[in-house]
Amino acid sequence: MTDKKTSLIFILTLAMVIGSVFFGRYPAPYMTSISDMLSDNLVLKVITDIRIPRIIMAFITGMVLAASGTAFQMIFRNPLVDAGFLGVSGGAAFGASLGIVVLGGSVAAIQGAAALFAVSGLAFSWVIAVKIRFGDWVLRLILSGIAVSAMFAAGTGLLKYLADPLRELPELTFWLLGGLWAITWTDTLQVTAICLPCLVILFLFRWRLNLLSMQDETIFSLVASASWERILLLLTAVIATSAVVCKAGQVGWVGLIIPHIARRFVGSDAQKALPCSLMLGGFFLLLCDTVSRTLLSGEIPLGILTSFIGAGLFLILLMNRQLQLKKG
Amino acid sequence: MTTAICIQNLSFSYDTPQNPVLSGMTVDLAAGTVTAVLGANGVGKTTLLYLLLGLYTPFQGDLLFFGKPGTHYKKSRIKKFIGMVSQNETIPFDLSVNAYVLLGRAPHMGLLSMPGQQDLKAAENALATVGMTHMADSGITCLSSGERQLVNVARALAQAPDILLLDEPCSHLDLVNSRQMLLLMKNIAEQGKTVVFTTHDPNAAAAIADKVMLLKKGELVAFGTAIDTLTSAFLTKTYGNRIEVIPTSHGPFVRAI
Amino acid sequence: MIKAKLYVLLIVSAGLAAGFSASAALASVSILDAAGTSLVFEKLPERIVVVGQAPFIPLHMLYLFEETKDRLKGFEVKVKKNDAFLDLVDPGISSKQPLHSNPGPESVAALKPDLVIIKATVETAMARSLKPLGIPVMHVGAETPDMFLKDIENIGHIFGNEKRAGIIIQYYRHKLSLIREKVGTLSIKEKQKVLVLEYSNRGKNLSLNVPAQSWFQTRQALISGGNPVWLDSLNITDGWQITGFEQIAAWNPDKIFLIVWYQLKGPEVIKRLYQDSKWGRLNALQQNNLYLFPRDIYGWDSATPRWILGALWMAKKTYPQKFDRNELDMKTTVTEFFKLLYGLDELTITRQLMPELE
Repeated sequence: MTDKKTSLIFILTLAMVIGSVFFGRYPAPYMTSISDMLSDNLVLKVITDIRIPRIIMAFITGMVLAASGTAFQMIFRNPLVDAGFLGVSGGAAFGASLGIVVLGGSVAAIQGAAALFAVSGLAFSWVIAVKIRFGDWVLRLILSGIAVSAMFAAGTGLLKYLADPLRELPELTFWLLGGLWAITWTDTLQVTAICLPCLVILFLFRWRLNLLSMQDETIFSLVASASWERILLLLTAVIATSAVVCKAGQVGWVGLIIPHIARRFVGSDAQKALPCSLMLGGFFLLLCDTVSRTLLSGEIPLGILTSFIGAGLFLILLMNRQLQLKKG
Repeated sequence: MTTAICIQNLSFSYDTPQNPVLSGMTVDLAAGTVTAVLGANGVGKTTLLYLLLGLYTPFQGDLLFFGKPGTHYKKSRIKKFIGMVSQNETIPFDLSVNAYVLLGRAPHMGLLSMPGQQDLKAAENALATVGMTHMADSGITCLSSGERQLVNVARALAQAPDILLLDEPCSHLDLVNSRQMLLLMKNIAEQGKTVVFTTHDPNAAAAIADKVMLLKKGELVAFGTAIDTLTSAFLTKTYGNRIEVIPTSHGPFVRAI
Repeated sequence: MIKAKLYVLLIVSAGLAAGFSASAALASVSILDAAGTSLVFEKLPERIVVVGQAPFIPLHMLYLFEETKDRLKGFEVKVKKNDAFLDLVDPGISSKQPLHSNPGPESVAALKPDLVIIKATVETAMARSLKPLGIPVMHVGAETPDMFLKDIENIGHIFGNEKRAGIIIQYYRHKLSLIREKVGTLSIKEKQKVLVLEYSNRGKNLSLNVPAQSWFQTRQALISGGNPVWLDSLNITDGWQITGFEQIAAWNPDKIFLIVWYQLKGPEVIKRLYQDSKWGRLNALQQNNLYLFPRDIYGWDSATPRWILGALWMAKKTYPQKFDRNELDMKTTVTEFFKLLYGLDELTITRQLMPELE
């Protein structure tokens, strides 16, 4: 039964990937027909140099956010976290703001600063968590993650305030809402090089996630290596997320919601839920990005679409859950 | 009768050695027996189990398992022969019972392996032993607390440990389920495993324990068979309150005054 | 006889070949744009699209050249309203293809441009995206007079009309030298302390802002010989910097040039300030030296080509004693500007573009 579901999801995802190649705004809005491709040389170029790298990027971004979200939720035993909450998202936002408002606004400055501060966000969260003297490690990390994210949010707010409203602020707002509109092959290859190994690691450890979601004493009775496994998986998830966020901006809700939906489809066992998350995440983000670049002549920021649809799905899930509990 | 666990002069404290939870404890636990650990709240019953598990390190004394010190074994090896069922197992996600029990196979699996035929069989057997086969595909969150406790034990059994530690296994169970759990533990011991469990209820200890340990803060009050240890004197000393022991044809019956 | 004919044929062919290769060499244009990118054009672009931030700036620069009317095919539209000034200059502008705000590279490519122009001084993400499609992007900077004139030169090259570019550049240089003659040799002590202030009620709150150090408004103050009082203040960002009345009083400028956002009525604001008890005490207001920055459809303080008008006007207001009454008559200057640079007639200029000048 579950295999049937997984196969269905796989087929849908494949259809999405292939189908999205045919949608865009050149030479005309929405569908690009085969005859268009044969008659106009530029269409093929648009497909190979603009659409395909962007499609790959969107898919990988979705996969990374969903898989990282799954890993974080299981390791932190908390269904309300995603990979960004340990200061990674906030740091990236701050870095990009810095790049736009203070560092001149070149692509390298924005992406570089975003990546740098995303990783430093994690470092700060870690250091502060070590210094907190109460609570177990889950509580400590969550608290410090919240604190670090709040600091970065303040910094970003300050930069927004200082940004020139005619040039910098719109660019900043656009970045903060997320989008893949400027992706080139270079970006895609860089991200793939970093994220593919991370995704492989997360995939290989998928059964261990079940184990790591147990309480500490239980895990201790079963394995000796839990600490470093946890660190490895968290780092992997954070590195992949940082790579993706510094190119794509803030794309919210994917890491939070897709794992839940995956669990609804195939159960909570991470052995099945993680691969399902991967596919659903890629599918969802690719869908949103295709809409984002095709629906209107102006780009719709990706984060707006993922938030709308993501939050909508979340509400549906919440309301459905109540019904489920009454039955069980 | 082989000695499964040999505790020698064990002392442990959470802060300074001047404030020990356990002090100079020396006992031998034989394989194939059930040992009950009794004491008031907070004296260190759970701590003792964690020391046996290796989660805490004593500042004095030795622990030998099957004649060899704990440090002799590789950590991964110890996980194969000591299993534990904690008091409050919280499971944040709704795993199926089967998937949950399979977690017990972790010590026998490679780092990146998925559960194989052998592991599935072991889980199946474990569920059969506790009598929960019919719930194998249900979600954990759908179970009653009694059923949950049985599944926890199944998970520990799937681990195929030689030593099974249980922390207050009957605490959330009603009369009938409690009895079932005790009989299960007796059953497991009869298969050759060493069972150590903590409990509040001296009558439970009386029912199935081969040996009983009475703990008071910092000291071992008594260690021996149920008949020898469950006396009014020892129990009053253990609990700091007048305890009455009434002999019955089924064994001693303990009552607080 | 045949030999002679052959010789003639040879010479003529050689001459023709030389002529062709020379013209071919001429047709290949190479420029260095404001972002430091070098561009080479084998053929002069005929379908130009303008996108990016503040598209009105490159558009106003492009329309200094007649060729724009034919060769501009589309541009990004950031605000709902039409650009009333460009409507005057090119009545056919509505036939150009508008692009909604923030177009993706595909939407830009759909207009089939052979050149895209963006206002920026660093290579933009749009340029990166369009590169693999073979669509060149020229960046115009328009942040300083020198940059502006270089941009004009580049535009002249891409239109193949270096002559026109030369005329424009010559005009600007001439006007700048007019000012420099009068005020270029002033020592710092002799310079008037000037303040350029943006007075805005954007977002319902009143705000007072000073321009960034690199911006044209600051340049205008410097060119016109003034001593900008706000240059010492820390300015980490590249935009309007918020300030307040206390700071203005502390600076105590001799002249204040006020830029009022068009949602507010300039003359009303000036009147209100003069009547205000604390503003009225400022030195500049006591000496009647609070001036409203003139505007036609666009303010004279913007980075569009009319910045030169702003500079000239500021010079005359800052140092009125250095100019004769008839020198630098703004009405004449304005008429000359729009006639020469945009080809507009006197009637249009007087009716629609002449600001209220004191």
